[in-house]
Amino acid sequence: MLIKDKKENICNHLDIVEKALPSKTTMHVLNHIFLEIKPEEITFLTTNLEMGIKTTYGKEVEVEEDGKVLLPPRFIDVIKSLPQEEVSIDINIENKKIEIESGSSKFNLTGMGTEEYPVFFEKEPEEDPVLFTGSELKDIIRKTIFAVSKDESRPVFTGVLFSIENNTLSVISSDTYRLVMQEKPLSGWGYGDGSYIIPGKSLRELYKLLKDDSRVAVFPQDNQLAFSFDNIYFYSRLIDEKYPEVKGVIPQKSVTRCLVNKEILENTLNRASLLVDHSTQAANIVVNEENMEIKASSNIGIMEEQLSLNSKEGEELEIYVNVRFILEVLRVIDKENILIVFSGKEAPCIIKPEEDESFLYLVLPIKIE
Amino acid sequence: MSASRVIFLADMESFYASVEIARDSSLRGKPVVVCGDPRQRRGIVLAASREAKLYGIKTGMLVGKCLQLCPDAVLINPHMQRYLDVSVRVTSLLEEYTDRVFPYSIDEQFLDMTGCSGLWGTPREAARRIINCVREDTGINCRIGIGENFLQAKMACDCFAKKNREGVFELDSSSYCRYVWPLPVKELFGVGSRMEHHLLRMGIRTIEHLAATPRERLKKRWGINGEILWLNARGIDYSTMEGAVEERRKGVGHSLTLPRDYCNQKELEVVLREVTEEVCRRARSLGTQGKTVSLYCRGADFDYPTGFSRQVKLPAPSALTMEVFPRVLHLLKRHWDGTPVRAVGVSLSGLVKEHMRQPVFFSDRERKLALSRAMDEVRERFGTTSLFWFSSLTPGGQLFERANKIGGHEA
Repeated sequence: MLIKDKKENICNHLDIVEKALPSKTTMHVLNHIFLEIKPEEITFLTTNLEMGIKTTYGKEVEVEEDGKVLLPPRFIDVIKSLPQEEVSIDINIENKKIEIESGSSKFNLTGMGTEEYPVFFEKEPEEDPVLFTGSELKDIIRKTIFAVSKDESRPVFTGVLFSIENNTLSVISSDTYRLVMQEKPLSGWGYGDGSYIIPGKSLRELYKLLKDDSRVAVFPQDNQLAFSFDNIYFYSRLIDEKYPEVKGVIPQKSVTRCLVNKEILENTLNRASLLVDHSTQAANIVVNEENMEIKASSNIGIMEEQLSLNSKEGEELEIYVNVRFILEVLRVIDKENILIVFSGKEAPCIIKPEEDESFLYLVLPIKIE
Repeated sequence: MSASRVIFLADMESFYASVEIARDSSLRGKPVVVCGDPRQRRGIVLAASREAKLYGIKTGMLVGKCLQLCPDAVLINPHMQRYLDVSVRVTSLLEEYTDRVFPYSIDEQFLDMTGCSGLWGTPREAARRIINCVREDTGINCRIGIGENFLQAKMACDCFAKKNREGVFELDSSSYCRYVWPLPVKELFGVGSRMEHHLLRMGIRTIEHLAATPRERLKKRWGINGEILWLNARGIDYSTMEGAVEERRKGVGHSLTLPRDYCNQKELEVVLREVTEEVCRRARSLGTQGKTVSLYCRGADFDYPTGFSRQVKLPAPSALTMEVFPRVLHLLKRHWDGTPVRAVGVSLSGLVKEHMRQPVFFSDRERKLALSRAMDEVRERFGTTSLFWFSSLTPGGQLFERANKIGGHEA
């Protein structure tokens, strides 16, 4: 069968499926790209067993009957390197020979049969899925993914929890040092209450595939979560563990509440981060009668800076906190002002955008003895 | 560092035996041998008096052999607490002469005497004063090596001061080659029996030969250790007292020699739990936590070493047995090939101060820490055997065996 197409068009689809190729695997077959051809349709598919991506696009293909073949890993680099825009790919399904021509350049590659490939099938949702726009879903991912843990010894924290209860979606992630939580009302979800822990790695790849105007249908499939949008079907394995109860760690009483300009605080903390101690990253935050003082010291030197508060309620207070944990959340908050609620030297500090109850960030202060 | 530093190494002669003789004057003039308990297979000579040494008795010799050489030898079980007390007393005596005393082992102490000549005269005069003072106060004979650095002092003491009548010897950078270079290479600090063997095979028989060997050749073969040997051969030593003290704080470790070969994994696990607990307790008492844990296991024959030494990084700094021990077990399961083990060691390195601690959500770490501290306090007040892991009662346990001992010998 013969595919004639623009190089750019093929590359676009290869770029999509490349994201689910395994970085290293003992299953050699997974390094291949699954190609399925129908008279009017071309499908590329890859999986590393953690997640899988399938992309389909309409194209007139000279083909006698439907054909399937595994393309070798090098196929992607070959296509990207071709000299001319016009590309022709001739595949002999019988002996798996692949002939690629572009301009005067000619490649002969050998593919594999698809018998051993763990093909997954795109399924239709059984109930009503939830629909997001690409920008909504990207926003949810961006505001949680940064707090995901990289420590594989406690797998549950390497994922992001999507929990649905009474038509409210809570998205939570934590590396156990800090915790971020968002809440969104959900409409149209037909699967009832449930919890889904999606590996952070899968969400990072999904994020790259989403376009702002994508219409994304999200629904569970067996022990996976599927995301269907544009011509792409993306699934991720779920982490099969129980996420710890989060409500219990949110402090109920506050000692001090400060409203502060986000940009000013961010700039000050960026300066403090230059001088914090390398191993603890500890910055000292002091809330006085009417302003806030930020101090950092290490064997490099010391710094201190005062910044004014928009408003302050409650007691004066002093804590130490990992400066990186604060900076990372400030980067994802889009509001002009943020509210910081301190609940004592040992209780978590709460950071949230001004007048926005849907986003909550908790960070544990450093203990000094 | 200026070249005019004056470093002393004071070495107590036949230390354990001398302490026993000083306590009991009826032992004076007799061949006194302090040795471990023969029934525990720790029956080796720990110290022999000057008289006993005349019979050819040496430290490390089996008690049986020692009795063959000298049937009249007076065998004495060790009293470690006594020796520690005397050692501390000696330190305080030495501190009368300089504020920079660095105990190197129980019977060897370094003194930085730089700039003390106005107080105590020439280095040789100061050394004689110290020797007299120690002898009068404790009854122990000490010998003093003098050098411009730690290495020279150590070499002056081990190779010369111990062997001359006066008990004092002085080396400096210009006399070092005259005195030290003709000596056999095994006399050099840092050359053990295996290293000697390698060097002899390279045709290096004296320290002079080693000093004349290209530095690059030694570096290529043994890395930094080869370079240090070459520097030692030339009497060069850049270490400082502060550096030496700092060096010790990089890790907290504990090792012990087992009374018999351990071949059973369950027994090894029991003793490793005890060792890990001790390491973690020490780290906690220093207010530190380790980032890396290492384990070594070694067979009985030191000349043909078996066993391994491996390390692993902890996910977060820790000094909690409950967090460190699983990693030790993991190292054991992964690297132990089943050969008999006679010595084990566990250490925590990459120490960070514990006074700033990042607490965590969803964890009972704070409670574990509080529990560990409570356990430390109980043991501090009521002794190491007042609270223990149940496994210490099983055959592999060494806790009770060692509880009343210091360094594995009777207190």
